[in-house]
Amino acid sequence: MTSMTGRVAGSITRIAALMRKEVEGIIKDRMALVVLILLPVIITFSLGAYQFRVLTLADYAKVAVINQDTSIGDPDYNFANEFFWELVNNANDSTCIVFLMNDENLANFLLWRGDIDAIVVIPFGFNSHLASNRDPEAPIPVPAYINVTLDGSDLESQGKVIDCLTSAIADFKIHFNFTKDEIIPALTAVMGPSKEQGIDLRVTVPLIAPLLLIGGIMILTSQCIVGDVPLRRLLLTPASKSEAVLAKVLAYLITSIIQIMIIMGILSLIYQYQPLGSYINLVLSFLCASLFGITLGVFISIVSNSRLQANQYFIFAFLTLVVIELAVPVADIKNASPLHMAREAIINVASRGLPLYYAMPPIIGLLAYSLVFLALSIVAFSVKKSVV
Amino acid sequence: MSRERFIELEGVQVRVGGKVILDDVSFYAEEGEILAVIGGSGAGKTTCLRVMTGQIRPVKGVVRVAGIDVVRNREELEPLIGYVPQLDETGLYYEFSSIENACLFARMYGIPRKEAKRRAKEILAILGLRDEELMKKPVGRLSGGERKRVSICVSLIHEPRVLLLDEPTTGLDAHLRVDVLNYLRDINKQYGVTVGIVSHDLETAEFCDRVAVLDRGRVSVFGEPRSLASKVRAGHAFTVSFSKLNESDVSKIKNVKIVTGVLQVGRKTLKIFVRRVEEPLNVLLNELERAGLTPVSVTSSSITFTDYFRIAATEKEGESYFPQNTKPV
Repeated sequence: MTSMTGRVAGSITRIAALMRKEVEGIIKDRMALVVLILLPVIITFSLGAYQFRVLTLADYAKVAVINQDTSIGDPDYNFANEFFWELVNNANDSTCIVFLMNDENLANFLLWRGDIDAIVVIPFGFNSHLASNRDPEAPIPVPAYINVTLDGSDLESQGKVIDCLTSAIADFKIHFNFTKDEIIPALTAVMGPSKEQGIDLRVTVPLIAPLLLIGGIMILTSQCIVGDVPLRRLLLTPASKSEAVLAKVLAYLITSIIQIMIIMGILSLIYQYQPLGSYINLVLSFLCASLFGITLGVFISIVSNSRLQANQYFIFAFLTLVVIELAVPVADIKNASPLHMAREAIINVASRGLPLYYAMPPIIGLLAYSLVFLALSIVAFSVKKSVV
Repeated sequence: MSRERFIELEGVQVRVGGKVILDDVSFYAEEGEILAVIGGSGAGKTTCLRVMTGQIRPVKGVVRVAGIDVVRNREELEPLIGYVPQLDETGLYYEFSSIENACLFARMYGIPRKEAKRRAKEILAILGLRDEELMKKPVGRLSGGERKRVSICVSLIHEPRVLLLDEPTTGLDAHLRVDVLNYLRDINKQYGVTVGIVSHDLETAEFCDRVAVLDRGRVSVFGEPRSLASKVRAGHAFTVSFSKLNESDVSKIKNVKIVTGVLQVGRKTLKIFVRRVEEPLNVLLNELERAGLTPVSVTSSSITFTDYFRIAATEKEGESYFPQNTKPV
């Protein structure tokens, strides 16, 4: 019994000593401390951000209303106008902005480009149909349809628009004593998944592909300098540090082309995925996402002092990108995130089928991030002491 | 006529975080010579090498390698030096073959691949690696000695004028250590390359033209191993083994008239230094017999730099190996 107690005590002593060593190690590693503190701050902030956020224009879903109704209805009310104002009254609560437009072609163009999120068309007959329903002798209600076209590539804005629409219809019915299904919204999501493709590839590809490309290449590049021990010996030759960084970036860019080809192959051959725009533009967007992953990974590899540390920084950076994309409900923060930019770029060229010219802002953003991390990598490597 | 000094440190001081690592270090090697920088752990050997390769800037002093001021013109030095790190994994890509490694490093100097292959094969042949199969094997699958030779080959691929090696014999078996040093001597003769070797192994100095001994960041001994060895006050040396040997036996030997010094080289083996006398072996054996000691074996040995260094080190500690009543001739 005593020897058992002794063994347990010995084990506890060893565990305590090892624990102390670990804690002291973490405290001595300043970067580990930063990760330890920053990560929960970012995640907690993202969870609470909705509560305390200051909404900007980017957070609102933009809804264009086109009133095509010239029919005669109730002499006291213009139901089409009244419905528009109900939409306006409910817009703020649903994080929408509602405005009138006349030109349907222009509205479709703006929706295609992603400048607006939905088009609500009040068609001819809206007034007359609703007026006929107010006749107490009317046997069955004649529904008044409104045509709603949603941006199928943006699930978040779809939710906001439908919420605004449902609230406006409810308020409208209460206001004018409609009690049945007098107003029916006919919803059409464009640029979303096609029925033939079965699964929501046009939604999932822009979300999953950047995650795969950025994360996949970052795993490799975050080890590429810290793990390349003979590189220090190579740097005693005329090879410079900036040459080494550029060579690494270019080499991994070639690797990522192969990765992209594999992803495209699986999507096309197995899932029959077809982008709405050109394949070249899609590959270009993929490449920009990869380039960002490469440069961030190389930067991590340079500032890390060991392979373990590089792994920790990789997880921290990648998790931050994912958390911002999936959990931060603040559009301005999200829009500034490279992962979101990659997603937007792919949505623009593959889901919307936009020509490259219109799809450029997120692509330029990704390239700018890549350039910044490339420059930071070169500077950090040039000041980092490397002796062999 | 003296040749140009090809490796030269003059009054070099290196500080790291306020701590003096090297202090007033001066030594040199002339063109085509082999220089050994010897010292124990923490003596500053590797720092010396890093100073010579321009990886560390000294706070004081002048460093010239191949006629280049290393502090001011490090970039000019790069094509003129070859560097062999202590650990092969820090200088070689283990997944590549010997030839692939050599070609990679050669490309850094702008040497065409074909020419690099030719040179690599030539150097590897001098280093005793002639087997084509071995040349194509990944370096990670070669033995320690083979890897070391590949590392030397890679450092010579651009025909440098100075080859610097960090502990080239560490981790190798005794016979491989000698092989590697002999190969270096061959390379030195064949290409006329000036060689600087940093080592903790005193025997390395025997293969060199000059030796600098570092002790806690300072040069304690510098010179030509042969002339330093000649400072040992003895005409002959013998390695003598006994069936039993204790402290009083060693004292008895030290007191033998012709004995000028004694070094313990094994548990029951001594290296005995004797004055310049006629038939020294017979005289020594007679003297030992008179002292009541019968050796098991006696071999004539040369007096080396290692002997000089060990005797000097012992004297420095206060105990002289030279008995007071028998001053060497």
